[in-house]
Amino acid sequence: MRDDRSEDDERRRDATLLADGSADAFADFYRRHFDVVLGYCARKGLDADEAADVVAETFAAAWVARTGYRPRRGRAEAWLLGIAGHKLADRARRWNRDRSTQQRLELERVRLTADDYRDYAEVRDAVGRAGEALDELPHEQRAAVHGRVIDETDYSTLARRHGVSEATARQRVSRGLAALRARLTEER
Amino acid sequence: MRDFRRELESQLRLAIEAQTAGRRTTERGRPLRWIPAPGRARLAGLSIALAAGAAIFAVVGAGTNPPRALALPVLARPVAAATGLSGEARAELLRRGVDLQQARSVDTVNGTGYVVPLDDGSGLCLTVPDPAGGDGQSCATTRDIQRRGLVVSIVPKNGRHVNLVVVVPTAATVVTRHRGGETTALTAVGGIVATTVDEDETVTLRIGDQEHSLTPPVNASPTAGFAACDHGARPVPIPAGMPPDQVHTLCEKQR
Repeated sequence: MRDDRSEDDERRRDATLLADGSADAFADFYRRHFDVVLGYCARKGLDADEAADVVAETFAAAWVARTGYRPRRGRAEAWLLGIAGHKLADRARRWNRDRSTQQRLELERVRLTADDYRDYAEVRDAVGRAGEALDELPHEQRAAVHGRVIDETDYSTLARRHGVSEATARQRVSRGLAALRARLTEER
Repeated sequence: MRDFRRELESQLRLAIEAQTAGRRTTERGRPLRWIPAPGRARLAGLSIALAAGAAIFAVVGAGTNPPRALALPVLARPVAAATGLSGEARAELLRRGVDLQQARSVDTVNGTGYVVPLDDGSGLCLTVPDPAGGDGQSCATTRDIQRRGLVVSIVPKNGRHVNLVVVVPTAATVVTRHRGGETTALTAVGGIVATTVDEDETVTLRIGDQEHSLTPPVNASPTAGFAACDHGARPVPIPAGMPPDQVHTLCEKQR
């Protein structure tokens, strides 16, 4: 129950930040979710420059569409990753870098530094290791962790999708994450 | 990605602030030529005639739409990131519809200014920082600049001289006429002349045998199409068809 309350609070917080309409509030929203969007890009196999473009385009689009976030429908991360997914699909279709929303907002392209490339390589390594470890989990746990952590699906949807109770869905995710942690710790 | 994360946040903040500022300006319903700054009262008078020639396109001349190609020598300058722009200057430029990705930097005695094309290719804006605060901006169609140049003039606080930055068209010369009557001709470098003259000197743009004044007297009367307001630094465009006895209401709205 505490998790649900906490998640509701998080959704309300994100909705408030988006509705505020100020640069400070959106910057707060951006800082809360930057890592999630970057991690998503890494999981999709983008290189650092591509990831930078998709992250910038995603947050620019999130600003433009900020009134479209409905906390009842899901977490802000899921909403953001939905936008990022569309951006990735657009890129695949156009075969070039999509900066349309950034250009609309007159954002200048951010040049990556050597530290950025190094940081992103670490993110990709971590994602790669986690992906390998995930593949080694039992099917049910793997599906639960994938659904919850990668697809950002909430527990009730996850439970319906797999035909189990919400408590069981939570247990599978919890056990799967514990197993992942153990395997990743062993590798170090 | 810490550097990228920080920089992107900064970019997003600027863009949002620019958008927010642009919306406020639009709600007032009046394109502003000068970003207000304290102690710039004298700038207003000097800029009226310059602004009228340069900015009236915003009211009546936006129909011209020549290609962006190098119609003006300043566009041969390399494109530069407009990182030195103040938030206010950026917001005002964006509201005017410029393409900031195509900015060219200009060195002036007041710091780095920028020449920025309008995004439909119809003209240019020139923005120059004012040491007293804020920025001076002027925009015009390419055709207008080819005939008259594009000028921003800034009078330093308590100064008795004028800093002029001029976007100069092809084959034009900027001529300063000194008190004794002698003249000095300045050829543009990279399509720009940046010069300082005393208040009682005059500066003209000479193209062939044609001359256009760039330095109107401080107490210049409003040029047709613009109203001068005595409370600030903004010449106000007069909407077409507005009866003369209603012009004063424009200034009231700006207070």
